[in-house]
Amino acid sequence: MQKLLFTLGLIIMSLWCIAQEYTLSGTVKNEQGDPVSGASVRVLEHRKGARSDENGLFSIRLSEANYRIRVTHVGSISQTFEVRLDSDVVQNIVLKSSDDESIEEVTVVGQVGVKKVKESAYNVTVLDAKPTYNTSMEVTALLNKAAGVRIRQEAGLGSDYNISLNGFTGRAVKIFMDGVPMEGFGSAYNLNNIPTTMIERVDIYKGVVPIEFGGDAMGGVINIITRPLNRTFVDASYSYGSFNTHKSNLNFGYVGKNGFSVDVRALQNYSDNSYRTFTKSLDLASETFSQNKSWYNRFNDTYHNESLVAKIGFVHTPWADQFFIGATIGQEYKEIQNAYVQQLVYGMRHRKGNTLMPNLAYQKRNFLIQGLDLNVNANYNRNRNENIDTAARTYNWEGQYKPKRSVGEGASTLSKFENRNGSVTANARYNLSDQHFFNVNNTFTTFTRKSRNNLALIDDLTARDTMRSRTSKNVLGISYQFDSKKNWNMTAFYKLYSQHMIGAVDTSSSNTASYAEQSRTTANSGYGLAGTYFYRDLQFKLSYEKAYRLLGSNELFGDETLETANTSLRPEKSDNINFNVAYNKVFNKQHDFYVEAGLIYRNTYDYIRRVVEQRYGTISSVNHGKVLSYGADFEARYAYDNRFMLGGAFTYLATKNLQRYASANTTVESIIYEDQLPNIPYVYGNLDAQYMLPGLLGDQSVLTLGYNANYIHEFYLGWPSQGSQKYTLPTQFSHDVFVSAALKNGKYNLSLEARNVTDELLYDNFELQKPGRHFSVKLRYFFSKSNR
Amino acid sequence: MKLQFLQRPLALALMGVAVLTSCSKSDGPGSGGDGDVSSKYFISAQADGDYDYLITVDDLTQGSVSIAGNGTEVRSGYSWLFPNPSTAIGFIYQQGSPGVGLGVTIDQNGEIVQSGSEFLVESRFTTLGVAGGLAITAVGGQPMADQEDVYGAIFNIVNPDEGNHKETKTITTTNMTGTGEFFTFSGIVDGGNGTFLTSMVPSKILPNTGGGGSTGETDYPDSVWVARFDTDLNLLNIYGDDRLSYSTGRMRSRYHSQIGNDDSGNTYVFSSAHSDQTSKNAGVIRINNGEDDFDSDYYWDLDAESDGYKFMKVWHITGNYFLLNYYNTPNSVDRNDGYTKYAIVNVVDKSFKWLESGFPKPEEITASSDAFTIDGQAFIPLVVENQKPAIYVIDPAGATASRGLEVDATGITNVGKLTRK
Repeated sequence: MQKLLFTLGLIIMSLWCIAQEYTLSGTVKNEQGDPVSGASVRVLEHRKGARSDENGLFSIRLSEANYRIRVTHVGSISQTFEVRLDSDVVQNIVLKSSDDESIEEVTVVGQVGVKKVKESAYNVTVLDAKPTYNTSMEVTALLNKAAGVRIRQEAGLGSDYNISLNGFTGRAVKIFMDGVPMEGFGSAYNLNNIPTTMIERVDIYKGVVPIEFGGDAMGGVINIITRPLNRTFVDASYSYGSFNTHKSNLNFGYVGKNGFSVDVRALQNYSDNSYRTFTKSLDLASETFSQNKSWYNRFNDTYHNESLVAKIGFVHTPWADQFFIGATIGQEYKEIQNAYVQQLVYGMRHRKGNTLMPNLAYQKRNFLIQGLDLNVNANYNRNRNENIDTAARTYNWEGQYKPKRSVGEGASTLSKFENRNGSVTANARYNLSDQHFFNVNNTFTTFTRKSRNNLALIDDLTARDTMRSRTSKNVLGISYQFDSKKNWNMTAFYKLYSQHMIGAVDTSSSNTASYAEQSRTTANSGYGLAGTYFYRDLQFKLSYEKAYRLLGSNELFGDETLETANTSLRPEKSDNINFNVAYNKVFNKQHDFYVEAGLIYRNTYDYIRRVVEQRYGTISSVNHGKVLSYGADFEARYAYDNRFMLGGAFTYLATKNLQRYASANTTVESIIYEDQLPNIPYVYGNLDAQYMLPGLLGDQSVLTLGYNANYIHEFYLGWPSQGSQKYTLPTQFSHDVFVSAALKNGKYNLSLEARNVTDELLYDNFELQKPGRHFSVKLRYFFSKSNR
Repeated sequence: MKLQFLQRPLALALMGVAVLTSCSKSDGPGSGGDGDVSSKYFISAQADGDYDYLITVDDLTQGSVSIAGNGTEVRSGYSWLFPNPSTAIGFIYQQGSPGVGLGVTIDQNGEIVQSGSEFLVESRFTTLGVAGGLAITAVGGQPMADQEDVYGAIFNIVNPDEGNHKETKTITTTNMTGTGEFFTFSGIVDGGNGTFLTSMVPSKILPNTGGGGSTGETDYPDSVWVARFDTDLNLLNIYGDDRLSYSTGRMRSRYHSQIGNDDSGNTYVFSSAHSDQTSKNAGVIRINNGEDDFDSDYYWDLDAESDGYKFMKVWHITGNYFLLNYYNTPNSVDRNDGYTKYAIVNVVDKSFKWLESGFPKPEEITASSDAFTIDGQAFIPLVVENQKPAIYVIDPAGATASRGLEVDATGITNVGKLTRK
């Protein structure tokens, strides 16, 4: 393994000397001298380009030649100039505003805006949300387009979901929003109910995570970037769809002359989720299920949520580039239609929740000293959830019920839980020169869960759940980055994880539990490095991290079955290696190709498992488990002029259980040694195509026809080697189409979508069906104004 | 590397539990010359994951069998009962959430196939048993919808002769004996004539009572109570006696049966004197077949036999022999002390022998499942340290054991016998 790394490193370094490339860079400013971000700087010969960042800076690497460069920006007169690139050239640009308050052009060609992230040394997939603004997707649907990512959702709008990233799932995958951990956000404002019109893009870091994301993300990090507030804008939409689905979204931002800014985003989702389900029916008299399945409409699956994200503050002042104080409030109502298998139906069970999250953000370049950029984020979140299951009834899929004498369709619960979470993230980046960068990040998160009142919880949970459980985590990351200013750069980093946990441990030895509060502090060190090398139209990346999944409170202190706290329990660990090759070229100034292959290697060990020792009467957590995963993610994009776009992603993943022994205390060989892990999708992909017809519906109009397909190959739910009659999740192959009309340069938009047009039986989890064919129509208004 | 690419036809995998009704396979080993199998032993084996595997074998006393590529996959968490010779009924324990109950039998090739319909398992269960051809489970301490401070028990009764038609019956168990306390049931044994007997475990009503998990203390630990119900859950009789404490073993939420019938339908009621408030010794008394009272002439003090060790579970083996599972530390019913010690008792001869010869030492047993008797032979599945799970054959008269069929899995949950109708 180490030999392999070393050899690859040598190869990359030796290619260094061959290319003759130079950098064209500069700053884009307006007539007032303020930096302009998001200006498009394009090389006409190559259709290559860059966008100016928040400091107005842009930078493009090109081979030695003459070029024509065009700079455009909303509200400004575009400029074209010529440059001879036989050395590094710095060209500063001053944009003059135009009288025409034209809107951001509706362009979906190329992903120039996301280039900067893609070209980093990390194995990162970037999903641009803009092409989906005229669809009625939530962020979870967008995430499914990334190679290596699989969202497994239980049912329709608002249903529970699970993210699988290269086979890692659950707490090994961390979600951030603008660099802030989303772990404690609660379900009222979450990926399955946030529309894509609220976000700019998603960056998915796989296996090796920059220190800017402070957390124990052994599988990787998903960072949702919300739409920045660069100028006053309004984006309002409403969609109506099958199953009585209504979704509205209002995004409003105002930037005043002195930098005073207001940013308000509101969203609302409602759906009856009354799609039909193919399942077995229950005969209430005999309490037996039918042998065959029939179609039934869902009747207890209504979902609705309402959220408001608001902030006020200042941008571009002498004391802050950005300073905002804001709050997110949201509430959610969700009916629960069935238990863990489709045929077990609930008729009245539901849950509710609400979230209140004040937050603060501060950002300043050259904070106190030149070259030091500081970024601070703080939020506090209180979310409350309530499960309501008090019906004394048994329901069936026909919607009929019979009374029963005990309370509750599932486990009788009227339980209320309150979670209080907080996080403070501080990031300081120091530019020692234009080649040496130091970065320090400290992310502190605290998570407290308290159950507020219970009615008949099951087993011995009653006492334990009234006690609090608190976890405080601090991740301190330090990195050094070297930019050769030629065609390669590298980053080395170190992370210090510390965790302090308080939980309730069962200290009794009788059958009546007696809980006492205990606490524990742990510390672990992680590290890694990442490097990238550009050669002509190719980019190579190599990255490595020793990553962790820290202990959870229930693993350490126990839950309803666990009793013995194991003080020597270690966190789960993984050695993660990525190797990527990307190719980007424009042919004949019209055909834009992008292809990327990412090879992944993950050696994960010290899995935490439960061990029951009847001879000692103990149930404890131990480290026992070793998995080797490897595979490849492919992504390809082709764009023809401004007319046609085709893209796809494909993943192949192999996972191998390499734990030789059946348990931590035995020499018996495990029956599943060398078996592929169960219940993990391992071959899947997606494809999307768009065809644009500009001018068909009038001046400044674009008619777009789109198609999208998703494929996931059949996989086993249990260990593949065991048993002869086995459950599988069958191959899923579904198709969506849409038509969208953008008028007046995207100011008015109307779109029609049909999802799952072939009416497939779709499910991500065993038999929990998602909707069949369904339709929606969306109206959207978008307006953006430059700051004068 | 065992990387499995799926090549099975999609049709096989379409309906979850209908794997049980899909294709029949060619003759398995040990089947008769003409391909018609009359009976097989049934084993549900664990694979360290979310699924268990149901396999069939010919001989429990020797050889080995593996679940690699062998067995019908079912969700893990099923407890299997054998209400009649041809059927196994599985109840799934989902900690309060409803589940899908299964019935299986074997086909002419000795393969597991579905029997009857799937049925709804709505309540949890803390005890289970068979009586009169029915599979029965019970859970107590359930708050009743219409009344406050009233608790009841919910019984699931499945009839395999009617396609697994199921009755859910709820009865109030508050104040059954006039003490104001409520009862949970432990152990279900056949009482003859369409009735069954079950031990009643008393519990005070406390502020946090509910959910059926924790039996609180009782003010009446010095009596034993047993109820006789018919299969419509009509209470026919309550047996009470002051010679013993209540009859049950406890392990978290499970109530382990300490009652069992001999081969003549007499019901022996053991009590481990589990409560630390009782003054009674552990012992056993009996209800003779069809009687309305405990046999006042029969009593056996088991504390006197066991050198201070206390037992948790009781199983009938054959004739007058019962197998008892003891805690590993004397004078303790602390689950943290382990419980892998066994003894064989003869309730008529009043003989007590530790099961040691040919049997693993208590500190070597890492897991065990319920003992069972088939055709007069007694077996217990064990996992012994550094060995694969195996079924041990027990000779009750000699209190000796020998290692029988080895099962290459991570554990064994239930074993039984299925005979084709």
